[in-house]
Amino acid sequence: MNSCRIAICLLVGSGLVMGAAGHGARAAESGSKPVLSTEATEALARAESGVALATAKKALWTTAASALAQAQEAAKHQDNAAVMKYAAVAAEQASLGMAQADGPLTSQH
Amino acid sequence: MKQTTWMLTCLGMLAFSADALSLSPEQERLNRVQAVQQKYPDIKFEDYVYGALAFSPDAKAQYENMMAFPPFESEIDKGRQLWETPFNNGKRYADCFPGGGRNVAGNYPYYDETMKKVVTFEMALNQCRANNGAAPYKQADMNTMGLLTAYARTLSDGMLMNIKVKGSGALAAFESGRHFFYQRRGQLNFSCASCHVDHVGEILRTEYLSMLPGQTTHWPAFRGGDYALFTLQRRYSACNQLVRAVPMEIGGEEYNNLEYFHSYLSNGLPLKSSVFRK
Repeated sequence: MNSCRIAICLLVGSGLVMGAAGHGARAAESGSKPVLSTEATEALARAESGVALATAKKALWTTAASALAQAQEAAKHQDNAAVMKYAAVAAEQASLGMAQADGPLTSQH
Repeated sequence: MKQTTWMLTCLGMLAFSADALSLSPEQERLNRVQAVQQKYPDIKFEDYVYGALAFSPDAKAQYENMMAFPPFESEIDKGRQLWETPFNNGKRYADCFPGGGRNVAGNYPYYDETMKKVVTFEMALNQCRANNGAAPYKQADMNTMGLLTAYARTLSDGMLMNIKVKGSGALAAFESGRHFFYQRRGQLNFSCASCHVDHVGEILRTEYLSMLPGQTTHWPAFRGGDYALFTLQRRYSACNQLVRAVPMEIGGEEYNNLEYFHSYLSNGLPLKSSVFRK
C-alpha cells in the first residue's frame, strides 16, 4: 500500500517537474527567438520572385535553385546573415540565367 | 504596275533574307555531316553511330567485346516480357504498330498534324497502352518505360533513321529543337553544340565528344560501371544538369522538339539500340 502511494507521488511529482520544465523551455524559446529582419525577408522575396521568373522562362540554373533552397532553410532558423547571403546568390544567378536565354545562339552555321 | 513590281521585289528580298537566316533541315544535316567529314576524314559515315567510340579504336574494341555478351541482357529480357505481356483485352503492343513493331522506331519522332505536336516512340507506346485500357507509363521511369523501350527499339535495329519534316507545324517544331540545341544554358554557359559541334572529337573530362550525326541511333543505352539505363531524354536531362541548368521535363514539349531536330540529323544512319556507353 505504501509502495503504491510512493509510486503515485513520484508520478505526480515527475509530471509537475516535466510540465514546469516544458513551460520554461517554451518561454525561453519564444523570448530568445530572433525574428527574420525586414532586409532578409525582402531579400528572400526577391530571390523567390527571380527564381520563379527564371523557371517560367525555362532558364533556371541549378546554382540559383540550390541557393534559394539554402536561403529558405536559413530563414527557418532565423539566420538573417545566411538568408541575405544565399538570397543574393539566388537572385543574381536567376537573373543571369534569364539574360543567357536571350543571348545569341552558338555556331548555328 | 510599278507599285506591284516594288512589292514583289520587297517580298522576294524578305524571302531571301529569311532563308539565309535559317537553314533547311536537310542543309543543316548536310552541313553537320560535312563538318565532321572534313575534320575526321578517316571515320566512315556509318561509324558515326558509335559516337565517341569512333575516335578511339581501343574503346571500340572493348565495346565490341562487351556487346558479344552484354552484361545487361537480362534487363532487355525484362523489357521483352513487358512487350509480350498482353493487355487485359488480349491485345499486345505489337498490335499497335505496323509490322508487329519491327522497323518502326526509325520513323519516330514525327510531327502529328492533328495533334499539332511531335510524337515520340515513347508517346506512341503510351498511346498503345491507353487504347488498350492501360494507364500510361511515366516517361522518366526507367523500370517501366525505360525497359519497355530497351526491348521495343531493338526490333528496329538496322533500320535507317528516317525522320521527316514537312509542313509549317513540323518546321516550327524542328526550329524549336534547333534553338534548344544551339542555346547556351546553365552556369557553365554551354550549348549542346558547344561540345558536339564546336569541339567534336576533342577530349573533355577524359572522354571524347561525340559527333551530332548518329547520336540518336543507339538509345536507350546502358551506361557506366553499373549499366544504368538511360533513354535519350534522360541523357538530355543529365547533360543539362552537367552544365548546371535545371533540366526540362522528360517527355515534355522542349525535349520532344529537341529529339525531333536531333533525330533528323541522324537520318540515313542505322539504328542499334540498347548498347553500352560510358
